[in-house]
Amino acid sequence: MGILAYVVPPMSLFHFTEDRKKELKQRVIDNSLLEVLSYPQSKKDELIEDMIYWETQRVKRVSWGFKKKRELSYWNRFRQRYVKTLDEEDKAYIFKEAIFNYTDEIVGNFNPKTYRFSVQIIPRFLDFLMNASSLKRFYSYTKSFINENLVLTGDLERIGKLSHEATLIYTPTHVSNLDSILIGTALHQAGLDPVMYGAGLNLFRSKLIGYFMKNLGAYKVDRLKVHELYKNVLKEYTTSSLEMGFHNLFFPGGTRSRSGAVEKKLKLGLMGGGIKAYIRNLQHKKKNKNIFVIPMNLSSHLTLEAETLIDDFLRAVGKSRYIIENDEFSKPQRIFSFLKTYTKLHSKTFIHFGDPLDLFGNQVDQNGVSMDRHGRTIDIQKYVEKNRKILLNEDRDQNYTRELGQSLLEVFHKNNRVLSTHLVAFTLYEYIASQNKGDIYQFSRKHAYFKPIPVGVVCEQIDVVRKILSDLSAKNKISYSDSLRKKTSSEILHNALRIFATYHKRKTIYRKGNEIYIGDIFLLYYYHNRLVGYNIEGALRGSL
Amino acid sequence: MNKVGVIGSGNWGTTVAHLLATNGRDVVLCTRNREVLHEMNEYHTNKKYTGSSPLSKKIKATQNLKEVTDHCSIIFVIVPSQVFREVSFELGHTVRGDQILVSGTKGIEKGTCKTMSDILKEETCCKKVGSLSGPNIANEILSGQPSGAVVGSHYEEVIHDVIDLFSTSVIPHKDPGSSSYFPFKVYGSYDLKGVELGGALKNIIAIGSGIATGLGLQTNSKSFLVTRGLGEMTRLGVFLGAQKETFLGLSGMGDLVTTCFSTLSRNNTFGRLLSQGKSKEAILKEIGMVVEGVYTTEIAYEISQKFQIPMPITEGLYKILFERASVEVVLKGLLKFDVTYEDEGYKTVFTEAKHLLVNKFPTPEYLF
Repeated sequence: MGILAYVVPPMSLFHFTEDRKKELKQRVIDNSLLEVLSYPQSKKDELIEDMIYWETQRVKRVSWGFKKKRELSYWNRFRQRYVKTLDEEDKAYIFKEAIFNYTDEIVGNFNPKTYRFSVQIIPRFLDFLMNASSLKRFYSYTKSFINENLVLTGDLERIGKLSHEATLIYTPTHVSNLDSILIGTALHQAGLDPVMYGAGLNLFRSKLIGYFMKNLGAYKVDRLKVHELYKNVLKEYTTSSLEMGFHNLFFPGGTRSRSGAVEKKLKLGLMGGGIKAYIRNLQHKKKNKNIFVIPMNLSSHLTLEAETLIDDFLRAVGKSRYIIENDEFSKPQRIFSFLKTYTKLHSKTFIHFGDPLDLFGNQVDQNGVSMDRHGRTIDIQKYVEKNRKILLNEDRDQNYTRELGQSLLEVFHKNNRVLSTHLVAFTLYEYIASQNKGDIYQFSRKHAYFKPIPVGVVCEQIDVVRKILSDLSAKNKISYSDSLRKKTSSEILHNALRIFATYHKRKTIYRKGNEIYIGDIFLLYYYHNRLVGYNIEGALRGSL
Repeated sequence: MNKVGVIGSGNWGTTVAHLLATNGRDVVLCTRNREVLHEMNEYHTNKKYTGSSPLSKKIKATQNLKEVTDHCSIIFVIVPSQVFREVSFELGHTVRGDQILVSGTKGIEKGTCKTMSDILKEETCCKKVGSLSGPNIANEILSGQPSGAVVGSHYEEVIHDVIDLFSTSVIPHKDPGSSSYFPFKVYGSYDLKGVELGGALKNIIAIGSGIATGLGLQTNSKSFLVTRGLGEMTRLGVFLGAQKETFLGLSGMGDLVTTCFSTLSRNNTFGRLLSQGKSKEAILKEIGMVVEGVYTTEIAYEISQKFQIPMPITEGLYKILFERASVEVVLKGLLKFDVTYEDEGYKTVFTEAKHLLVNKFPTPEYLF
């Protein structure tokens, strides 16, 4: 049986052929245009004016030389055309041109050959880099980077089954640019199909990484295009791709967590496309109409870009106003050193696939039927009905997406896996905060004068925090694994010290004799933040 | 599906059902009490809760919850907060995702720190939930006096549909010579949390105000208490995710003033009896209805202790209610409380959390 013979949604990216790509583009153009033309006159004008203004601003900021001149004159001509438009038809033409161009720019590509090549070669290439001295190890698959350093948990069988019956949206937590590579590898390891995902334009610029991005289903997201028309086209792209049955991946945090904490607030703009696609599926009476959300938790001991991220966080206090282009991810030697640390220390990245949710934030059973908290089945079609008619309602659907966001946040916190580096950093930072008044800015100015902390005291404090973690874990609020539970606090401290001694330019903490010194308070704060959000600091009050 | 459901036949439940019915809606009222059921269907009164006020004949009382969920697209749930979860769970068996649930109960759940709309969302599959709250003394409304309320919800649809239900609601004025009819005015608010917490937390201050009345204190002292009380309510509300401004609206300030100055309010009456030296248990028995403020005091005190939110009035009342402290000692303690500036409470909260720049998610409720 040929691949195309059984194609009904959901579709794997392997079915993203040239024809389907054309179809997707056409859908995006048609739907976006239909929506825009339904707006009142004043809104249409606003959309065009905003577009011209923001595009000109963008060109002035990022382009240079001949390209800048050419683009500026394009938008200038565009402006003149708009000023001269007299009737609706002309305006519709302007919209059509803009939407066509944006769709053409956004659309991704998938090349099965590149995919097969990359899933087979990349891991071996990594191993080769890591173990260039040992050819024996290079050939032994069981000892590969992925097998040793990537741990997948969760109900993979069920997700695999669902992926054939429904369209899936994977929503991982996000700390590093390496995440998408890790997730791609993890999906392959778990026997799941590759997915469509949006990647910032900056990732396409690098020749090597850009090549893989372009051919592995990534679509382009230009975060400098901030006007509504572009965002609408982008949203329509995800909506239409979900409607066609392609599995998608969104980072619901919107960008890498700058503070190092688990996402506390989600950007759900693109997620909203899920409900829209579901409603369209219902209206077209599709057989496989369901769309499910798979929350994923990525946890690792160290973060590649920790230094840059925390610096940006403290500058902008979490507003992430800058798009970081020049971070550790753009320096191959840093990536190499990071991966080396990983293999040498047998440090692991844990990827947990959470239980599937429906688009309204409800749990889903083995057969893809939504359930309430007491296991009673829910007819989710009712959510989008009003007087027995299936209807779109922007305000209502946004609220549903917000409910989903709330459920996702809870799942992210529940499945957040405590690792030794986070535990030690949290304990030490809280200890410092209890001994000294102030916040991270003040600590950063005076931490050179902090007294070193005796190892015995640190171990005692770790035990106090572990006790609270056990309680939280018993209430199913955090993932505190058995392997960490079984270790003694001095083993945990030792493990964290060993990991902190590598990779980063400065050691986060280090040991001298029988005392622990703080080497980089920003990094300590960064790794500490992973455990913020559980009021552990409140429970610690008085005991540190 | 054009009918409207009301669950609970207490005095606010009955009043809401009556308001809706006078506005031309067919109301299905669900009650567990057989006598009330019989009385409402036969004689159209509910003597225990709303006295001899005649109720609309468009109200049909039933004991069967399914009758409500089968025929109503909007359902008001107005039962005491202690049984709210249980009733919601039962409701969850038959309710569907397209229905709108509106809570009319003012309270916070003990041990979970959840509001009533949170419970509705947890126990049923419904997402479109809201809360109706405001300065509403049931007897005054039934006697035909003009009044209003606010419906809080994140959903535009809920706000519009509920406002529509009441939009032409009229109650004939009792005075036979008067031709004036007063509609029940309902406003909307997107700050669901604020609307709910305003209604719940004001009951604490109402008990305090009742005590003040009982002690013979006059307007000055009571205004002092109410204003400082509002500050305290706002502080806790903002911590739990509400907006400050909502506390200045009908569900905050409006409801607070009513309950603190009305002799008809249950919480106020409770406070007055308390100042006469009666025990908590005896008073509850005497009133015969649920006094939400007692439970809310306990819960608010617990939250304020856990997250170090300064709430001296609540703390004082907690001591009177649960630790049998003397009213006089508590009152003196309150006046001696070490605060220099009027807005000092906020400062303390923020210094506490200063070393954490990261948001404290997931909401405080997650931590219970």
